[in-house]
Amino acid sequence: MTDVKELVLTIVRPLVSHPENVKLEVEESHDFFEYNLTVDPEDVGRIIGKQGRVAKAIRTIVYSIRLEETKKVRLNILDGK
Amino acid sequence: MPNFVGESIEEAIQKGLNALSATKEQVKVQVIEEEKKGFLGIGKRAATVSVEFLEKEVPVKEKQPEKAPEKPIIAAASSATNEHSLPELKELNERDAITQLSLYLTNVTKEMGAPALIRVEQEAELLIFHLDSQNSGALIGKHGRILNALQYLAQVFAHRVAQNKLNVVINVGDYREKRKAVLQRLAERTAHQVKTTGQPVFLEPMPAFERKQIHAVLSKDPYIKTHSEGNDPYRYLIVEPEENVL
Repeated sequence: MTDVKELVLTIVRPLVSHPENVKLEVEESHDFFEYNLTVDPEDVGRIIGKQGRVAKAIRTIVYSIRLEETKKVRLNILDGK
Repeated sequence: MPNFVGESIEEAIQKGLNALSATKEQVKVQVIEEEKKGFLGIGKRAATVSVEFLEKEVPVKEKQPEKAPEKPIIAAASSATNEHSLPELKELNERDAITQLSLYLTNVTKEMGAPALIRVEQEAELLIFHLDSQNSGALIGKHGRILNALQYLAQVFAHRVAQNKLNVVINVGDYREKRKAVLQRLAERTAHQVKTTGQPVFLEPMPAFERKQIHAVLSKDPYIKTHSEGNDPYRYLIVEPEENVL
C-alpha cells in the first residue's frame, strides 16, 4: 500500500535545509485530494527549483502512483503568504 | 547492521540473504562499496553491502556505514531533538554522497510501491545508479518521464549533499540503452525524411540529454543541420537541410 503522504515527505525532507519545518496537510475537495505542502521560507525556492523543475519532477512521481481512490491527487506547494 | 563482502555486489547480497535466510523482497540492501577489479590484481577490492530486514525501521543515522566520517554527522544527529529531522548532510565526499543517494533512492522507490535494489557504477564523470525492481514500469513511465523525474531529483540531491559536482544517471534494467537505440533510429529516419523532402522537421520536445544524443548522431551528416528551439521542458529539436552543401 503506497501512502501519498509518506511518499511526498520521503522525497522532500532530504532536499531541504529545515526538514523539521516540512508540513503536509491533506484536504479533500470536490474533485481532488489536495496535499498542501509547506516548507521553511528558506527552502521554498529549493523545492520549486529553476523554472519549477523540481516541483514538476516531484509531481510527476507523486501523480504516477496508483491509488484505489477515484479522486485524483493534487500537490500544492504553499509559499506561506 | 550486518555487512557482507563478496567478489561482486550480487554475490555479497546473496551471502547476506543466505545468512539471514531471507528473500530479496524482505530485505533492504545498501551498497557500501563496489568491487574493484584492479589491475593485475593490484588495487582489487571486494564489494561490501549491508542487508537488513525491511520491517526494522532504523533511524537514518544508524544506517551510516561505519567507515563514514562520524563526527559531523553524528553531532548533527544527536543535536536534532525532533524525531523527524534528519541529520544535515553537507559537503560529503564522493563515497558518502553515493551512499546517501542510494539510501534516498531506496526510500523513494519503496514509497512508490516499487522497491528497488540499487547498484552503483562509476564511469568517468558519470555516476550510474542501476535500479532493479519487480515493478520497473512504475519507475520508468511513459517515454521515461518518471525515470527522468527521479534522475532530476537525484541530481538535485547529489548537488546538495556532495562537495564536488556529481553527474547522476539513473537506469532501470536496460531502459537507457533501449531508449538510445530508439533515438538513434528516430534521428536516422528524420535525416532521411529531411533529405528526401528538403523540408525541415520538428521533433517532439525531449529532455536535454536526449536532444544531445540526437545532435550527436546527426552532426556527422554533412547534408543536414540541427538546432533546438523553445524553452525547457518543451524545448524541441529541428532538423533541416544544409543549404550550402552541393
